[in-house]
Amino acid sequence: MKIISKIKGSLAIYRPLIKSLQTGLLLITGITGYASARCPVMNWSTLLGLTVSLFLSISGSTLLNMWYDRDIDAKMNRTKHRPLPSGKVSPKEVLIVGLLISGIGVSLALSMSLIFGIVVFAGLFIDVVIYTIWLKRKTAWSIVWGGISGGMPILAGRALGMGEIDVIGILFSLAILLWIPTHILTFSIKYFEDYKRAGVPTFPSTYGEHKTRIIIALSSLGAAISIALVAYGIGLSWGYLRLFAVLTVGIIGLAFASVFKPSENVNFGLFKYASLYMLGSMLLVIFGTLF
Amino acid sequence: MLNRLTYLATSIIAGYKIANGMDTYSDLTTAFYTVSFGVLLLACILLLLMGFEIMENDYVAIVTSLIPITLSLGLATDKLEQPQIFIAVIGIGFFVAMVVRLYGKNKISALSLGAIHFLAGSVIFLLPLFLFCSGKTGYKILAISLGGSLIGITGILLGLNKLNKFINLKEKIYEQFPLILFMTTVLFVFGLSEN
Repeated sequence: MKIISKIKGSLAIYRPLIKSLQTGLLLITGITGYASARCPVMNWSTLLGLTVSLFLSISGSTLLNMWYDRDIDAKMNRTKHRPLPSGKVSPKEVLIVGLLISGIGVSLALSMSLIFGIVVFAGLFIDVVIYTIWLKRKTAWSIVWGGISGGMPILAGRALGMGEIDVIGILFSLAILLWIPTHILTFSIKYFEDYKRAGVPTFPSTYGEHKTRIIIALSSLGAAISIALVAYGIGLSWGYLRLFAVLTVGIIGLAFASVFKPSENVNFGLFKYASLYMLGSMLLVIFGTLF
Repeated sequence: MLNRLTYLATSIIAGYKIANGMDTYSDLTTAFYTVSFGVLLLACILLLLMGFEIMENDYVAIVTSLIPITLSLGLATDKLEQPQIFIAVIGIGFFVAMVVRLYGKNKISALSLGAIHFLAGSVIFLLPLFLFCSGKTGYKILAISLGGSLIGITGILLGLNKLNKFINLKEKIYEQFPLILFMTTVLFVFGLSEN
């Protein structure tokens, strides 16, 4: 009983530390990349290996981000209650667990396929070293690198299925890269004061809110075009393409509404819709290639 | 939570219809039904994410008017032998409403949009009844009339509420709105499964 309650306690601490929703979404993009290759997706051992290795490496990189950014998190109202700044877990423990599961995740990926392992490692390296440690506190443009690392799971999944990096895989990554600004910048508008207090440069604080909204709208458009090219390129049926077009009208409509009729409700609605849009698009690709 | 699940279920049903339920229609009919169920799907997602606040937005009112308009156009192109006049009337009416609105004549725009709404609603309600009574289709198509009545009456009540004819009606309708939208969508999809 004692062990069970200890495990439950650890799960309660580590679930927010690995940002379970974000990790889950990135994991689904990885599975989508693999499924889109039209390889035998029912190869359960490969699918399981992909899922476990991506889950471990994404969670590991998130833990390492949390470990490094704990001082920033302590200054922001939104994040000051997270397990690290609130002292529920020691930084040393999080660092060790982060390094350990990242290492296991990348090793497993490398053992499955060299190219898959390299892409997974690249995602981890770009996210932790280039984005978090090097650029996040220096420039608002760091989100480009955050976007590139966010596009690695889907590229890795596609590369595992195809055995190479192809145009579809790159377009998939580009879609995620262009989607990330919609996700992050809407958030940085909502929590403008928080980021300012923590001294983290963001697009709203560097270029102003209006220009940020324009960038959000343009990047949403770019993400939608990239996914549309992928959806058409992998041969999704017209039915799925129609549904994809409907979802796309939603994100572009909200993005442009946030430029011409800005409000907090529209901004946060766009933030939430963007996640749903990405999830919906990924599920459409999975269902469209499977059925 | 239950409301959110109902909106989610409604959007999944509408999404399913768009992705998998339009193989037998012509391209034009498919386009009209796609817009109709697409706007329905997006409306459910936005209600799920942003709540009833979006219902107060003028643009949302215009966009959601596309649901009955395109559904009626879909029905007309699918079931009528010569739908051209109906398409022209609805098309011109909608265009006029939009242009008038651009020039800030909101009352005239609302009137013309209301007239098109009425015309579209009448087609959604009466055409299936006519087709069934004349023996051209089976009973399933009556579900479209029923769904149209359900959402139509809800829309009329909300409209009257805007004119302050009833007090506190809006809250009562909003309480039932997820279920009404769900029932309407199910009835439309069921009704359109009749060939």
